[in-house]
Amino acid sequence: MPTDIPTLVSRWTRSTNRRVMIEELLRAAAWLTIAGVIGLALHRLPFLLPRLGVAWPEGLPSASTMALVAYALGGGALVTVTARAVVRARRRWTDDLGTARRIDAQQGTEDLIATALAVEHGTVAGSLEVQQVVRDRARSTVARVDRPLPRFAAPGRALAGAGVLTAAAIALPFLLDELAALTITEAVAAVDDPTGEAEAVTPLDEQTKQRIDAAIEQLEQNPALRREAQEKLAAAREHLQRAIDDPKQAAASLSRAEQALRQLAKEARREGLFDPEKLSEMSEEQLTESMSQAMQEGQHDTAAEMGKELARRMEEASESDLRRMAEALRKRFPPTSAPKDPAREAGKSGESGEAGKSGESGESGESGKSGKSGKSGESGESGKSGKSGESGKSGESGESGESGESGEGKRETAEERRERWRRALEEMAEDMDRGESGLSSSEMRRLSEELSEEAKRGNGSMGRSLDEALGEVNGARRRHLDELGREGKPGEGEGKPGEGKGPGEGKGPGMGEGNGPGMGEGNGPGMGEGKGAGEGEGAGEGEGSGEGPPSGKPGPGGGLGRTPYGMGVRPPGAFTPGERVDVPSGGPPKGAVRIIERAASGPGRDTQEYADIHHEYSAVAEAAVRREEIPLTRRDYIQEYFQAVRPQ
Amino acid sequence: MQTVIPSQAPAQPPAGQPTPAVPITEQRLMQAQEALGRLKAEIERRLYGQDALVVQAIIGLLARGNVLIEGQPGLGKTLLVRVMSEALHLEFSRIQFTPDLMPADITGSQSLVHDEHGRASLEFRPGPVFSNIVLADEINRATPKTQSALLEAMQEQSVTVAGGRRPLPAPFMVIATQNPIEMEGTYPLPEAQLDRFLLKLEVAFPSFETLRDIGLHTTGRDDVTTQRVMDRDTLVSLQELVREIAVAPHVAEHAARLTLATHPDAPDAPEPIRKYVRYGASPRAMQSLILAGRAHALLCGRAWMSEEDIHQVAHPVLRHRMIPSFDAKLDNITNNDLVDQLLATAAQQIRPG
Repeated sequence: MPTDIPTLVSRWTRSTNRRVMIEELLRAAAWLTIAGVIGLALHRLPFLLPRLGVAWPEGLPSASTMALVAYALGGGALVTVTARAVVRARRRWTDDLGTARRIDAQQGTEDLIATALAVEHGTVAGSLEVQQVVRDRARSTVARVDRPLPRFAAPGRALAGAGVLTAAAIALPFLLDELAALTITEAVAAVDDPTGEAEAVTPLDEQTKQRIDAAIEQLEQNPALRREAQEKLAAAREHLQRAIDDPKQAAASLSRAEQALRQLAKEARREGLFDPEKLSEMSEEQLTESMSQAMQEGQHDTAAEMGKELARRMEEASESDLRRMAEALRKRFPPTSAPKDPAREAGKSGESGEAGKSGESGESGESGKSGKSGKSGESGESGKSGKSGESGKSGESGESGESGESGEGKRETAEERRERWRRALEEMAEDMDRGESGLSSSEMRRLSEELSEEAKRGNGSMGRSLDEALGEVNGARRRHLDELGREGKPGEGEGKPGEGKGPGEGKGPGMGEGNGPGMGEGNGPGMGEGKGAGEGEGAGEGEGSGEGPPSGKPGPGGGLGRTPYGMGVRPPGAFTPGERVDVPSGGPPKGAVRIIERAASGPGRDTQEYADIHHEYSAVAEAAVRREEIPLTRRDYIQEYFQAVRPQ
Repeated sequence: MQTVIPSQAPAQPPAGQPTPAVPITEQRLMQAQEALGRLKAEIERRLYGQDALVVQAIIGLLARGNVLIEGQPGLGKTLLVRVMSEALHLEFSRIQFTPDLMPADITGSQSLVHDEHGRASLEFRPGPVFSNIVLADEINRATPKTQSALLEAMQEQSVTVAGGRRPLPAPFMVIATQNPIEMEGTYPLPEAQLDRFLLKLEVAFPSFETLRDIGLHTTGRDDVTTQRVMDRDTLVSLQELVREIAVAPHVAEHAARLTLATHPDAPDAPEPIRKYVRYGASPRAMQSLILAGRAHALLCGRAWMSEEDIHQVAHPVLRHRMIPSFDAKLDNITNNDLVDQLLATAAQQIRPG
């Protein structure tokens, strides 16, 4: 340790000041994080509360005001914390004398280092002998200093607070989603339409159902599928069946099916669809069979997984095992007399296609031609011709021909690729026969990687099947909701002249255009423009000539029409005596119908019971809106409706 | 915090030869500390339970200052001075101040003397002030005129008699005492005169144990003698050594800041000072702080002075230099309380990091 006191003290001073800066930066960062999370919470509170099923109190500022408050808080916190950090850092900033005094206090040397520093700087008057005594004593003292820097005082509480708040901010949206999903599920489960007034809308047409079933079935057939995935697929299947069996619950069932598939897709992205244990339990015959089937069906990811497992086994296999595996391979991929060159092979298949053996081989023949033309430098045209061919694959091959990336000015087609893979497997079988486990294993691994790459490109993967199934279910659900919404929307239909005689239809805030001579009275706050014979009254302009069937039966319209849960909830005033209103959850008290009827007639809108019911219903509707289960064009209706019927 | 100075039994007192001028080294500092420790031990052997008083008296001696001791009668003020002079082998004189004491009774006067031829002439007969240590007992009982005579001697280290200036012997130290009670018929020292005392010491009433020891050890045969632990030259060399003690600028700044803070209109003055002090300490107080602090550092065996030294001597240096306001009297605030406040504020200011 150097005993040059000014240098030493100066170094300690710099280190101390650096530490001060770090501490203050940490402290400021922690406080800014806390302020940021609080600001974020304020900003998001008006949206978070409804997700929890709690209505935003009317007495509190609106969402935009809350956002302003949050920004103001954030800005204020930024300025305050920064200023405070600067002030604190300046206050704690030390100079050489301060460091010397701190060391003196720490060592109990009564200003020795500080005086020695002054002696070194030549600011102490007195005899040289005394100065030398001070200098010597100080040098021996600094040599004994074991901890010249103050302890690192991390702002533990502030950091912990920031950490907890940040974790809460990250976790809360997920938790809220789960809670909201739970609420909705419960609400859906509680929905029942005992009157059976509403006509069921078919949720799934037969074709869609078949497509979904086929996609799911394809997934389920995979022998190495994870157990969880199988369970989810089974659940999705079950919900889909329920949707068909019970059309009133169709929206919920479709939603559940979609949820199960979506969850499965998420898990597939995270962990994959295949169970390594199951793969290891499969015999070589099963593996080769599955691989062969997957390759034929274009399930490249499945084939890749099987190939990987085979490659793994080949590494450890004995010669007899290898021969057995080679036999299995040969059984599934029998040797052919095909030429080794893919272009030649493609050409050959093309020729055979031209011979018109079959439609498919004919396509192959086209692609083979394109391969040839690629060779001869006319790849562009060939590509075009491929494109215009019946087979998309041929078209692709044409594009490949255009690119001319391969050494021969062309890229292999899917058929060629499959052929090459098959040939590679043949060669692998030969290698295995020769007992070359390492070679065959590496070839198999390479093939697996190629298959995996192909799957990643979206060509025939299990994931794509899953996406297809998911897309189908989602589309079916949306279509169903759309139909439900249309059904319940007043005034949308066009009644035939003289047939719309319903006594109370179309009183909601509809936007429809009624042309029929309906007799309904529009009382709701709707915005539609009626063209029918009905007469609108009150604030609403909607008219209810609406959708009464030709027989004159009153339509189920009531403002919002059907919610995704299959009810026809109507605004006050729309109820007719004796009409049943469904409660969308188990939350509201008994006798909800009576309470709502009273509220509709006027005097009951200031009761606590009605407020509870309104709160419950609006929360469910809000959740449905948030989850995008309500078409965008209908959202305003819902919000306006609940505004219109809010408790007094 | 009380200064702890090693008390050692007196051993091998200097033979009386003047100490040769040696360079200030660690060894010399150690020797000085040992010598002062012996002096302290010797005084404490005779004077029971007054450790702080002894240390402060030694500080006054080392700093070549004059000391005012305030305390009730019978607490050992005179004994302290007597023992100290005996231990140092210095001339000692005691003057009992009374209202009828005249200046000449202190300084001495010219007397008419006849030689063998019968011729009369005036001859100066030195007064009791011509000693190394002068005990001015109950100084506030003499008239201001008499007090002034002593104070002039204290300040100038000389007296003027019949137009002639006569220097006082070195070392010279006045230890004045005054009784805080029985103020009737006394002449309190004016503030300007008080300022000339380096230290004002307060003699605390002894504890029960000390009283017991006094009763046991001082009522028997009076055959206890004071041993000589230091000679005059050694004392002078130590007094010179005190003035060699290194004082860093930040320590001097601290003394200056402390002195300034005793003024009620100073920006750094604590609130009690603003409220209860009418006049603050003079620049001489700052000098006294550093001088007494240097002596304290030497007593502790250090060649440098610290801010803590200043704090150790702040009470005896400052307590008689601040003139309290009427509010202080009403609120029963003493100067010691004010110095406490001053030091507490200063300690916060100098706290490192």
